[in-house]
Amino acid sequence: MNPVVTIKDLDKQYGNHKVLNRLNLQIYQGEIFGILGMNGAGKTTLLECMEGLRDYDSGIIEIQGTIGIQLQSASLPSYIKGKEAVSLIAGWRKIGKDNEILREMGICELEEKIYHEMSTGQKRRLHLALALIGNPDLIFLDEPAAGLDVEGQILLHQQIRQLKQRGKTILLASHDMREVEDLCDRIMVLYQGNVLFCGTVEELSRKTGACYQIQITTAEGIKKYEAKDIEGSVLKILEDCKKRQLKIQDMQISRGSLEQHFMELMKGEEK
Amino acid sequence: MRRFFYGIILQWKMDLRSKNMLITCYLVPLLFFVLVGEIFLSVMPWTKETLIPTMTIMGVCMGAVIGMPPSLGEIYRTDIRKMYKAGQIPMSYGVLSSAAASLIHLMILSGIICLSAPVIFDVSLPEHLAEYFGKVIVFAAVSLSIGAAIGCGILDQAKIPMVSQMVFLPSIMLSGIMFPAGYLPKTLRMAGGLFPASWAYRWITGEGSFMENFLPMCLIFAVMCVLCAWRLRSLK
Repeated sequence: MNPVVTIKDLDKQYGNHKVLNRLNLQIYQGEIFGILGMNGAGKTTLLECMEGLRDYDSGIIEIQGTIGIQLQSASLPSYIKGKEAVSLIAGWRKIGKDNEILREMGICELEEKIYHEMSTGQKRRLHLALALIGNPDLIFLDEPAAGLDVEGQILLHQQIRQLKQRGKTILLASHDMREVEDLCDRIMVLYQGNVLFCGTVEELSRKTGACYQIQITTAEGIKKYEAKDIEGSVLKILEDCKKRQLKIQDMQISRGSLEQHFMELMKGEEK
Repeated sequence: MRRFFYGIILQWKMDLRSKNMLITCYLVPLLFFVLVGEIFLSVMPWTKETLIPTMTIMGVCMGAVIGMPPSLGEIYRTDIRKMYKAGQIPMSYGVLSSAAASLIHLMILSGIICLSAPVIFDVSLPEHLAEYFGKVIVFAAVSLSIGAAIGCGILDQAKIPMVSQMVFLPSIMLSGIMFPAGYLPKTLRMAGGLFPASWAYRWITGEGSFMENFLPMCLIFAVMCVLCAWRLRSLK
């Protein structure tokens, strides 16, 4: 698979503070790639360097194809209407009128709505629509679900999955572990400008040596266990319940959440 | 070019939706025109001949120096700037579209004052209307360049109205439109030369030669454009 984005030895510094430290990365076509990190890890700086909105000190960034950008903090003139914003951006991108984009996104009601009268969710969806003008190959999403209610988040995630089905490559920076875990094919964890991890969530859980989480519900209530050896532990739990003649009403086994793996990784780094 | 034209029309429509421009470009100047015009003619009947240029200069100055800068502050001091950059819109788009749209508003205002003054105050229209409006356009353009420099240059958005007032008030007081500039001390008369309103009033009322009045305004315009360009470059 050819990479759509290639970054080699990317460096960025603000004064004495190194934000990105010889960062290397490849992103492949058609994947949803997540960037995770604490506040100040360098996520937004990395995205903005790739988007061309921020200069970097050294390194190489190569991007194949056209890009669309949804910024973390974005705004439009207060009195612009949705369709006017689309026409404005489409005009400057030399795409001509792209009035269909709002219909495709299912937000026709925003065509005549004035920007400052839109809710946070409506503004976010408009910004996403603007990012999709011209049918870009690579889409940057910086905290796309920030400020959205549950319904808004669900709709947004559906739209992101639909974009992937259309063959788009999506680069997603987010604090929301569940969002990243639900959507992303691969993730990268940034810490103080360095890449701590790059791979799938499965690979991350193996790296952190995270345990399985086992939860059983019996007449005595809910009990939780952590186990590295899943087979041995489940058999032991079943035997124990049989000895005590406890009927198991429910059993759930999970690999542990991304949040747990992430915290394990951070703990390891802070040591 | 087509994109800029679309931007100018769009900005013009947004200005009409925004109460700020309606107030500073139309409501306040026209209210001032009606009220102060009445007072001027009662107290100083000889100002009848210069009522239209006086009120026009006041209105244009207000719209350009007080009305326009906040909308530029909104573009260049908020995330709108990043959004424009992400949308491949050039940095100059904001200031050029705002200035051009404001020029249209100010010419409409000038037209309203010019056409209603004979009806309300029984004054004569300027002799050569095309020449008169040509001079008003030049003055409006120079005033808008000052407004643009304020809007682009002031780092703190909250301070823009304060700086606008600091420029507007001396413009009006020292220009000769409220009372003859000859009554002012020499220092203040010279200070009035820093503002285009002084030169525009002289020019429109026929005092001094074309070059005497036009060149200083060109100089002010050029300096303001350079300041704007430098500021936009640093914002980029």
